[in-house]
Amino acid sequence: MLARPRAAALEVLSLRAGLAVAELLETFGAEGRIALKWPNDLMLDDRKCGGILCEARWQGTTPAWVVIGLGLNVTNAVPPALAETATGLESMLPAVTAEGLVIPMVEALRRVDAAAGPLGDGERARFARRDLAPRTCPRRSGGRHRRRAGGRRRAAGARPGRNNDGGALGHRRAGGDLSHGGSSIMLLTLDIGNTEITAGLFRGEDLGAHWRMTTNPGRTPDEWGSAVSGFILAAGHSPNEVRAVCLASVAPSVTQALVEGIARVTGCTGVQIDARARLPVELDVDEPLSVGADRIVNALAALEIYGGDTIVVDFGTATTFDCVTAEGRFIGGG
Amino acid sequence: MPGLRTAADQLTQRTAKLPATELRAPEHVIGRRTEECIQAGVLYGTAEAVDGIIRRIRAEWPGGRRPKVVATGGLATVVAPLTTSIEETDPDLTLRGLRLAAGHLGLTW
Repeated sequence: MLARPRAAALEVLSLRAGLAVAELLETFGAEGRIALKWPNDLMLDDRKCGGILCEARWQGTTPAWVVIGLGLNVTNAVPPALAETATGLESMLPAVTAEGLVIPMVEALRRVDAAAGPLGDGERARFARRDLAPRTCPRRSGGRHRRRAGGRRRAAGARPGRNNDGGALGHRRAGGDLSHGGSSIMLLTLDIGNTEITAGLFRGEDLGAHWRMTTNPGRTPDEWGSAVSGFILAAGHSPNEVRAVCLASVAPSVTQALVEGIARVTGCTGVQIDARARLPVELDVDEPLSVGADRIVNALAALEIYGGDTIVVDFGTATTFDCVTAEGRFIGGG
Repeated sequence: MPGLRTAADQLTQRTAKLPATELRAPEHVIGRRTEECIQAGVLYGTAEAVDGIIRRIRAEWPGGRRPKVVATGGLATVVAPLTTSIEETDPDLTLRGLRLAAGHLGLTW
């Protein structure tokens, strides 16, 4: 569903949508059995029955629109291998049919879109009641067991270490500011140089955590995946929050293994910048195809961030000079 | 031109007695210890070379306009203050460029 929430409501859109869906499902005979698991899972009797993903499209610094994506398993049979962790609505809730869910669901999401401002106290309390612990919560397994045996009994705020915002809210905030989007989704960027790799996580236009790795050609995809996911986790995020990967490489010897490792931990195929990429930088040099990806990217950044004629001095393995004109022509360098 | 680290490492690797060196600017260009001497040569040498190359690039710039000079890369914050030509420093400019490129190529996040 396409939504156009206002700024303060955008920050909490996915939380508000999750709450709305949970409360609606509860009216189909699942009172007290629906929980929300950070960041975007819907749980019925502690098994996943669906998920919500909100993706914003930005025009400059303003959100043009947001897609609220909602997936629910209504009719599909759950494969035996997933029976412990997944479930379907129809098999568990006799009152549910796909046709019967559609209209009230659309109405509920419309109300989410229309809601203004941050979560109110009432919404926070209702969210907290349905909030499954973040992964780090030491009491999670006990809680799951108790609930599976006898339905939901835990009272709001009963878990230690929670704050008044509800656990999920506090947990998400710890990862960074939420000013760019209702859900915690990020772009992973990598500048792969001959001696060092710089990586950074963007949420919207804002660079959050960034780190450096040694360009080690001996590493396997598994080793790269583990290194990258380690940095992401250390920054308070999860690799599955990465929804896009963009890289510039001048070191082909490591690129393939690194990209494969990243794909394994994030599920994203990296998009690699080269001289053929359709970017608003004209490569006005004798051998355009030999211009390094990092130089193209530097020229683009200079052009769009500084605007006019710019020389970028890049202090890397080599000290390089990239010259870009106000018209967007990369005219060479040194 | 060779990067700072590359230059410093080459000195260390190709000589018997020169130590590995931390890349920071010494207070005086006339060094009194070996490490200071290497630091002075590599850092002030790079800074002067950058200023010289920028002066020459400016002289060749099309249309007689005056380009702005922006420094990036891990050691930008170390060298930029030693130069006279660098006007802005953004160690993360390349990552920001990748973010902009991702937007142009239709990636969403």
